Amino acid sequence: MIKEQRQLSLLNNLETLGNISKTGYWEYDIVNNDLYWSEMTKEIHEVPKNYMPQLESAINFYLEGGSRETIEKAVEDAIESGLPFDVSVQILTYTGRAKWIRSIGHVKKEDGRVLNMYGSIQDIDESKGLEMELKSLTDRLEMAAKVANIGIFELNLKTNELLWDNQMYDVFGITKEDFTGNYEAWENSLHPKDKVRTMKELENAIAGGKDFYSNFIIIKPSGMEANIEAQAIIIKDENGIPLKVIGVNKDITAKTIIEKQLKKLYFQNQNQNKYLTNFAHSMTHNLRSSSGNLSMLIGLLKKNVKAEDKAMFLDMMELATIRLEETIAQLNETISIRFGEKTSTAKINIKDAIQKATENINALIGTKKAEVKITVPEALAVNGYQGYFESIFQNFLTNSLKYAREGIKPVINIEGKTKDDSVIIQISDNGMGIDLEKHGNSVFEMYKTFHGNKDAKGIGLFLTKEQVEAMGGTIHLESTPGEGTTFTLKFNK
Amino acid sequence: MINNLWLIDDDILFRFCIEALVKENGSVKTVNLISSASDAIGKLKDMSVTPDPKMPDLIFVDLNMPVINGWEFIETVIGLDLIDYNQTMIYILSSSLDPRDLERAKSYTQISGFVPKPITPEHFNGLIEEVKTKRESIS
Repeated sequence: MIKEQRQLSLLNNLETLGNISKTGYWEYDIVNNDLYWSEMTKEIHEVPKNYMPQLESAINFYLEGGSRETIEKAVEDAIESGLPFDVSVQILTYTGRAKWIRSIGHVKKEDGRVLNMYGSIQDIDESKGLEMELKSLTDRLEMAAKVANIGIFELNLKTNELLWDNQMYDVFGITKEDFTGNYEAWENSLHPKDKVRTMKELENAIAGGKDFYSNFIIIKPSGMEANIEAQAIIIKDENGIPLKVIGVNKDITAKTIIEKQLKKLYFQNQNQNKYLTNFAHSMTHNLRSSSGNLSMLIGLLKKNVKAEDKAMFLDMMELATIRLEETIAQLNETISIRFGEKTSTAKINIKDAIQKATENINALIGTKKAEVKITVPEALAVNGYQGYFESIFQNFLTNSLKYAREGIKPVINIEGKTKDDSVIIQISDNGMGIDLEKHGNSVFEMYKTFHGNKDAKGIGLFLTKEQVEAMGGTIHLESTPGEGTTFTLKFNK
Repeated sequence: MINNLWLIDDDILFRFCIEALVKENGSVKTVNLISSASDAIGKLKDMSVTPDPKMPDLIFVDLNMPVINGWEFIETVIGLDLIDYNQTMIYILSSSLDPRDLERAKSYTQISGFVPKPITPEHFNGLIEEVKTKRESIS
C-alpha cells in the first residue's frame, strides 16, 4: 500500500511538473492496443477530458503531409530499432488549431518483443513560433545583406581571430578553405596603394575608441579589384580595453563606377556648354559685324555718294563680302571638325606630317630667315587624321613666324617622344610670347588676337585646339612675353 | 558743333563707314580714325601734358579689340585721369550682344552711352544731335 501511495504521489508530482512545462504523458500498450493520454496531453490536443484516444485517431492529429509522415516514420523506426525518437512536428488540435509540439517516444522491449511505448508531448508552439520568427528574420537579414553585397565580420583583438559571414567570402572573392581566419586575411587583400592608410585608420579607431569608417580597394585572389565601404564599432571591456571589432564591408564597386562616369559626364557637359556659348557668341559677333558693315555701306550708298567715291565704296563692300565668306567658311570648318562624320583614323607618322607642313610654308620660312629644328623619332605615330596634323603643325609654324621678335632670328624647335602611354609633342619658339596672366583663359577662344598684327584672324589656335581634341589629345601652352612660347600636345599612344 | 571726334576701332570697314557718316552729317568738324587703343592712349597722354586744341570732345570706342580692348582703354583713361569729362564725352560703339557689357557700361559715370553696331545714317545723325544737346546743357 505504501509503495502504491508513493507511486501515486510520484505520478501527481510528474503531472504538476508537466503542467508547468506544458508537457503531457502518453503510454501505448501494444499487446492490448490501449492508448493512454494524461490530462496535459489532452489539453495540448484540446480534446474534452473524457476523450478516449485510439492509435488511429491519435496519429490523425498530426498535420497531414510532412508532420504526419515524420511521426509515422519515427514510430516505425523506434519499434524496429528499439531506440527513442524525438521530433518537432505540427498537430491540428481538436478545435482545429495548428500547433507545434515536441514528441518524444521510448520503446519497451522484452525478449526482443515490443510490449509498449511511452513518451511525452510538449507544447512548443510559442517557442517554435519565436524560433521560426527568428529564422525568418535571420533569413531576411541574410537576404538583405546578400542583395546589398554587405558582409559582416568580427575581429577578436586578443586572439587575432577573424570571423566572416558567408557574404564576406563573396565580397572578398575568397573561398572558405583558403580563408586563414586572422587579421592578415584582411590585410593581405588590401590594394597596396590603400594598405598603409586603411590599416592606420583601423589602428586609430581601435586606439581612439572611435568608430571605424573607411573606403578602400581590395584585390581578390582572381586579380579583380573591388571598392569597399567599411564601417565598424570597437567593443571594449569594462576597463576600456578594446576587445573586438565588429562591422560590415560593402562592395560599392558598381556605385563607384557610376559615380565616376557621372562626374565625367558632368564635366564634359559643362565644358560643352561653355564651348557652345563661346562658339555662339564668337560666331554671332563676327557675323553681325560683317553683315553690319555691309548694311552700313549700303545705307551710305543709298544717300548721295559722290561719283568719285563710289569705287572706294565698292572696294569696301568687296572686303566686307570676303570677310563674311571667310566667317561662314570657318563656321563650316569648325562644325565639320566638331560635329562632322569622322572617317576612320589611321596611324599618322608625326615626323612626316611636320615635314609636309614645313614644305607648305617654305617660302615664309625663307623670307623670315627662320630655322626649324625637328627632333622626332622616325617611328613616332599617333592615331588621327593626316590633314589635321599637317594643319596643326602649319598653324604653329606660321604663328611662330608671324609673332617673331623684331631683329631676332626665329628658331622653332619641334620635339616628339613617348612617355608612358602617351605621345608628347612640343613646339617651342623664341618669339614675342603671350601674356598668359592677362590672356591665359582666352588663348584658344575663337577670334582672339593678342598682338594687333594685321594678319591675325584669331581663328588659328581655336581650330588647332578643336583638331587636337577631335583626335583625343590635349593642348597646353607656356609662355613668357619677350622670350617665347612652348605648346605641348599630348596624345594617347 | 563737334570739333574733334575720335573713333577707336580696329575694323577698317567700320572706320570707313564712320568717316562717310561724318561727311554726310556735316556737324562734325574733324574726325580722327584710330585703329588701336594703345595709339589713342599715347595721343591722350601727350595731350594731357601740354593742353591741345585737338583734344577730342567726343570719343567713340569699340570693345572687342586685340592687345588693349575697349574696357581696358576706358580703365586706363580713368586711372591716368587723361580726360576732362566736362570737355570730352565717351560712347561705346559695339556689336557685342552680351548683356554684361551693357550693364558694365551703365556702371561708369564717365561713359555717356552704349551704341549698338551697325549704325544707320539716321542713328548716327540722331546720336550727334544727342551729343550736341548734352554739350549745350553742360556749358
